[in-house]
Amino acid sequence: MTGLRAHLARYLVLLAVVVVVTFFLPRLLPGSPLSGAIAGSGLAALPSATLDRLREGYDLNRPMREQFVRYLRRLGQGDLGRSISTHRPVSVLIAERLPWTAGLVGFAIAAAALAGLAMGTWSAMRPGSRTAQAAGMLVIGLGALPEFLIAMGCIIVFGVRWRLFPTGGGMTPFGGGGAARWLADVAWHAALPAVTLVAALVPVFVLVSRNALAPVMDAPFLVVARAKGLRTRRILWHAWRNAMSPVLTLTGLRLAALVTGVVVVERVFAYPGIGMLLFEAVARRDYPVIQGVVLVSSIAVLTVVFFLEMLAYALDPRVREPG
Amino acid sequence: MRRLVLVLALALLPAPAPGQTAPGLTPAIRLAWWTDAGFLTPFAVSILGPAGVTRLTLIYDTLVWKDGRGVIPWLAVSWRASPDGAAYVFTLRPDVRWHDGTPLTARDVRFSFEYYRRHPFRWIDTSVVSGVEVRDRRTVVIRLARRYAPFIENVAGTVPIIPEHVWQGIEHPEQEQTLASAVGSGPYRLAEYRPESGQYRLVAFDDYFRGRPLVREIQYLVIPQERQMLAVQSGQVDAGVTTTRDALALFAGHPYLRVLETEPLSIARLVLNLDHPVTGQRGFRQAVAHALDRRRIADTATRGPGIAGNPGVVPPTSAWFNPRVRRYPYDPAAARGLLREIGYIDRDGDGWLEQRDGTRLVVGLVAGSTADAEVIRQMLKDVGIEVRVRTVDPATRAQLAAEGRFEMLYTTHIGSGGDPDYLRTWFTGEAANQFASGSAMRSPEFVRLAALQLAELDPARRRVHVDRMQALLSEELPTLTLYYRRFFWVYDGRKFAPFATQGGLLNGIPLVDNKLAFLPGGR
Repeated sequence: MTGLRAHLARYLVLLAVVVVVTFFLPRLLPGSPLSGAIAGSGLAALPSATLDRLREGYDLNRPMREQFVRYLRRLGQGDLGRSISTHRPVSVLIAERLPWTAGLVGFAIAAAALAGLAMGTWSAMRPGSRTAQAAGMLVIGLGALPEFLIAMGCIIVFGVRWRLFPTGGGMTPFGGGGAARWLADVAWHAALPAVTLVAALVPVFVLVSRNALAPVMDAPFLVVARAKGLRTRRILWHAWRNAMSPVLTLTGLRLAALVTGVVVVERVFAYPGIGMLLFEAVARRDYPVIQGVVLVSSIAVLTVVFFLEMLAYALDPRVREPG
Repeated sequence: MRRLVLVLALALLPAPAPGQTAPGLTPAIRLAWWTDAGFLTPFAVSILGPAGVTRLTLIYDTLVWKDGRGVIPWLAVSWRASPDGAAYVFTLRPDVRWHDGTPLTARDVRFSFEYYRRHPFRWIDTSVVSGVEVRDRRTVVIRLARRYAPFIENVAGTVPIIPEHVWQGIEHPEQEQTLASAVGSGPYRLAEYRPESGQYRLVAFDDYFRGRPLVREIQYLVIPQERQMLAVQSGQVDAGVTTTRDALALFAGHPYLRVLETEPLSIARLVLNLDHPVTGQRGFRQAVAHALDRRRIADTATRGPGIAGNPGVVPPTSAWFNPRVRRYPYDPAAARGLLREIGYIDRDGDGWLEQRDGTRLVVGLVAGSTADAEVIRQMLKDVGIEVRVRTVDPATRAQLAAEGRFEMLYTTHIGSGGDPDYLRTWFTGEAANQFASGSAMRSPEFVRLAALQLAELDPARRRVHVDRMQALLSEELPTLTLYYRRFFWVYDGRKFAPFATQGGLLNGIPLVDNKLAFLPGGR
């Protein structure tokens, strides 16, 4: 229990660092919300009153230290501020977008983990098999492709050539119908972004699960289990409990990397998630939105990683009692 | 059995073509743009791009409007300037109602300008309006702080008139983002806005004073720019835009997709920093003008016969264009001659020019994309100037420009249509001009002419000043216009007939959703 508390304390320190970094990170970017507004307007000049109003309304005319104190004070009250470009509360913007990204990422992680673990297990059970080696090479090749390339490939083949799926958006614009129809429509639109993310994730899961399982498959306890005539399913359960730890660690690490991938995928598919929101906010130097999105995504990643660590802690005695 | 026969008979009837469910009426059209445009009130609308302020014009009206030939009466049936030119008297139409049925009166006009003094309309400067007086229900006098030639087009034709009964007492109008606050007098009402996906649904306002809108519903969708042609072809949207001429050949002979070519309202230019020791020399800037083949750059960038840049800045298609400016034909030898005159000579025979102290002449170029910059780099290399390109995103580029931290800067933007007062705002740094630090004209004559043209209400006399401003720009070259861009709108001709607004919508916006295209009587 003491270990758990220490662990939790470490996460809280990390969270405090994230809170500070999210304030300074957007301000370290070249440009400012004012230059973002002028550049984004498509004009050479904006009225001076417009820029004065932006400066006053969003504390941009105050010293950095004062801005930081006001940011912390607002954050303490649960207020993420208002978007400089849309004037809407950042919490509302995130709440509108988060379900789209959470659904997409949740599905992609689950599907990639299931498919990856299944393929990794299949491969680990066939050491030396040519088919398994060929599949491994294919997976490595797929893993080398960047997300945007996979996305463009999906759009060209499934969206444009075969016209099986929509090439952009989260749902049919202003489409009617009941809940079932809505769900089907959302799933239909999410198909290509999800396939892209799954394709980018699967290779890592395959390789890590195969490499984690392969040494365990020849371990004496499994030789005994086989000799006792246990069913394959039972043998795999024992094997997996021993090999699970690196896979869980990887899932946590990939989740953080996935945030970057989501920005690219949502941009390519014009998908209405927080990745797209972050992309637009960075282009506009919309500090409150960048802060809000980075903060919320960091908290989400930290929370999931924390629970995955707890899961590994519960499943694998070696994690609880190192050495 | 009878029911079955009826169903079969109905099935065999020819299906109505899209847009012909009722004679002359189109049920709905879908238009593409590449960003969200914010909530559609004058205070919350996004100024990141012209899409937001253009959509506002479908919900709100202005005192005057523009068609394919120029300014026309709109909320105001007539107007006249006072003898001193510092006031305008507008007579309003008697039959205009807000979407909630309340009549629009002169009080609303007065309230609008007074409210904008506290809560500025962010697209255009209205500070020139010093006061508004209501004479009677239909007559309003707008007083100006000074004589202001672009008033009719840039203020009366751009500033949305808002209802007093909706906005009165609201202290933070940018935060009012409910459908109840988006009450205008325009031909469409905002029925739905989905901010997460940037989708809008505007429905026809049947009591509109110009008649019942022919297009019953307008939807706006966010489609990335590079995918818009595909979206039009697949029927996902009914209109999309591209800036390359490919569209003309691609859709020539198409059964229903048509292409509308706008005026060249977008400008691509090289800004030269007048405060830098190298680019600050007029001889250097003129050499650059001779070294760049603007015709070839225009053709390459627009993939077809392009419109080469005029050193006087104003596009040749504009009524304000002055053809008698210094031209700078493509002439690398002349460029080398000018560079030699200011001391840049290839002293060691390596093909690169050296400065007087023997160091190589190297000039920085800030640009948004490598492709644009590469053409410039290659052409300047041919005359011995080494260009070091720095590629940055638009916000960074605007920041560098505002701080004058550049030597040469490549940019594209709109605003070169309509009233020529942009020559003043771009080159005297009076407005919050992003290039004011580096490329504002130092010439006292230019500043004097800029002030004179602004106060001159007689078009012929104003033209003399504007002509001279262009001539001075071509001599000094604070910026070298490389080419002008047209916008090519591909649209479904069965559903609506857009047209090119004279000088662009509002203050030179090359969009096609002019409300006249959706109304009886059209353009």
